[in-house]
Amino acid sequence: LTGYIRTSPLQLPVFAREKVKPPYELRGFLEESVEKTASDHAYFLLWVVGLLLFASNFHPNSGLALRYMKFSLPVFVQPLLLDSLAEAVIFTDPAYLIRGWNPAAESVYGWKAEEVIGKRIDQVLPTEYVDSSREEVLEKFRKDHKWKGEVIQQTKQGIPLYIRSSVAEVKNEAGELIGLIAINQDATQEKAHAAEVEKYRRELEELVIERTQSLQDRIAEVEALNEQLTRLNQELEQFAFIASHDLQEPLITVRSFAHLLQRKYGIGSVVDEAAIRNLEFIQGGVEQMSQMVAGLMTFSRIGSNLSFIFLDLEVVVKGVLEELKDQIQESQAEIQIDDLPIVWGDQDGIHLLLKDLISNALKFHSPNRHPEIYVFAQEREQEWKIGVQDQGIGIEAIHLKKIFSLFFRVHNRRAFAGIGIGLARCKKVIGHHKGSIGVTSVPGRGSLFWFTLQKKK
Amino acid sequence: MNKLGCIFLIDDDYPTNYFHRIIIEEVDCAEEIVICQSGQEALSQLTDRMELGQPTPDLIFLDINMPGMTGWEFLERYQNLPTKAHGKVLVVLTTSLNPDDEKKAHLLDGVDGFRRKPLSGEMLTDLMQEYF
Repeated sequence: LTGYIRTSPLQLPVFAREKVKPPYELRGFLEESVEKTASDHAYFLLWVVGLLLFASNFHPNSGLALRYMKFSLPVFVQPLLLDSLAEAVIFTDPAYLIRGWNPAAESVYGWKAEEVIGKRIDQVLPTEYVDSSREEVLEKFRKDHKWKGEVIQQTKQGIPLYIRSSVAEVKNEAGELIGLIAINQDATQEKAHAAEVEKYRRELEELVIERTQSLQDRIAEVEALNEQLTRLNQELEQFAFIASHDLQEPLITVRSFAHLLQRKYGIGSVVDEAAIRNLEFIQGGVEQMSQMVAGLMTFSRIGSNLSFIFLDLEVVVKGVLEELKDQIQESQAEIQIDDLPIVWGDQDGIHLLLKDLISNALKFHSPNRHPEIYVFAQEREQEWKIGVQDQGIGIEAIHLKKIFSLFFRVHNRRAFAGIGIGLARCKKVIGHHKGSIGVTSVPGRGSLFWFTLQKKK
Repeated sequence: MNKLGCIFLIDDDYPTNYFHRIIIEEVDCAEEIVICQSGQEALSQLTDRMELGQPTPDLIFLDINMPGMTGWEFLERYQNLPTKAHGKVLVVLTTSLNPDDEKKAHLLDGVDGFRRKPLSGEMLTDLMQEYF
């Protein structure tokens, strides 16, 4: 009944609420049902049902079906009462023989009124209870004289229907049972729809769970790989550190004893030119290896003692130029420094980086001109781009990819001294700053080395 | 330049000790050169000398990177020896290029100086001037 009130599209006029009261025992049941909604429909329905029962009271044992009774009702009520209701309304006598069967019942169950009037209800509509057993329902009905719930019934064609049913006892003024009234709403489609929605929801949920799981698996996989990579990197750095440390000792031994030999057989002693030259090679080799070992040491230590602060790059560059002042004077370099920003970085790392880039620019200048170096900054949305531009010898395109690799050198040692560690070091420093580094170069015209640094912490 | 009584060389590497002995002999700045190839050996030498009433070393050169007992571990035990077993001046002499080692050495009690190998005549005369 409540369902009817909620869903019926009928717009019914309101009849005197106060004057018309539903009679008989049904009153309590109906009032309880409508109290919650307090809608005008409900009062009207009370009135209609009251009228019905009043009419039936004239023929308590006559077995007259509601269908017939409707003729005795006021004319305006007739279409509203039985024909317009969306719910199947079924009336039985106390022996469960069907006495009333409205058009909605016909269309819901497929049985014509003529076919079912006078038959036992359970023969026409075999009923299963959805949420409780038959015994429980009967028990409840005996106690309350009414029952509301969900049932499954079959049409004439044997198609199961999902029905919301309200059943109540009907008594006359003398309190005698005169029958039962059932108001049944076909909720099959609604239920099927809900089941379908539920099915999709479950499928979606399963899919989401599945995808989430596979995503989590992937994340775990990536995390494991990352961890492995980090560990390998640490091991590698540890290895480089220990190797550079331990290689130092035999190198020093070779250097020391080569030195002793040189003193004995070298300049100012009995001359053996070949021996002197050979000793020089030994010492040259040892010297080079010492530099490489020392370079490896500094390279492996980058990142082990980071401390990030806000750095004034102008101050850093000035410090670098101070350290390089001998080379600057010697090469008569012209160095121009633009306004440089304050960046978030590790002071030692950034100092090393700028020193490597500027000393490279000093070193690789064209033979016939003095070095000209321009240091500048470009502001971007998230970061600063810092450039070190020279007018030097430039770099061939084929070398550009490898130029940041450890121990990679473009030139031989006679042309330009060095061990090929500076740019590798720069790249590592920038890596720890989560920035990037690169170069554009035109051979014979010069190179532009640039790197980026984040603006914020 | 005064000649020192005794110099201790604590280093596990034979050629290094051999070379350092040559340098010290060339500079001719010590009556006695004692070579210890491990920290343990140095500790027992120092204890023996104290007990026998022999002069303790004027100068100790200590290597850091040694198997068994590192220079750092030696320094801990050395600090626990009676003061009269100690040398006058202790200089850490190492191949290490790690700046952390130098910082650490300067923070430790009982370490007077830090130098990088190899020992040279020049380094030795500098040390003589600085500490004696």
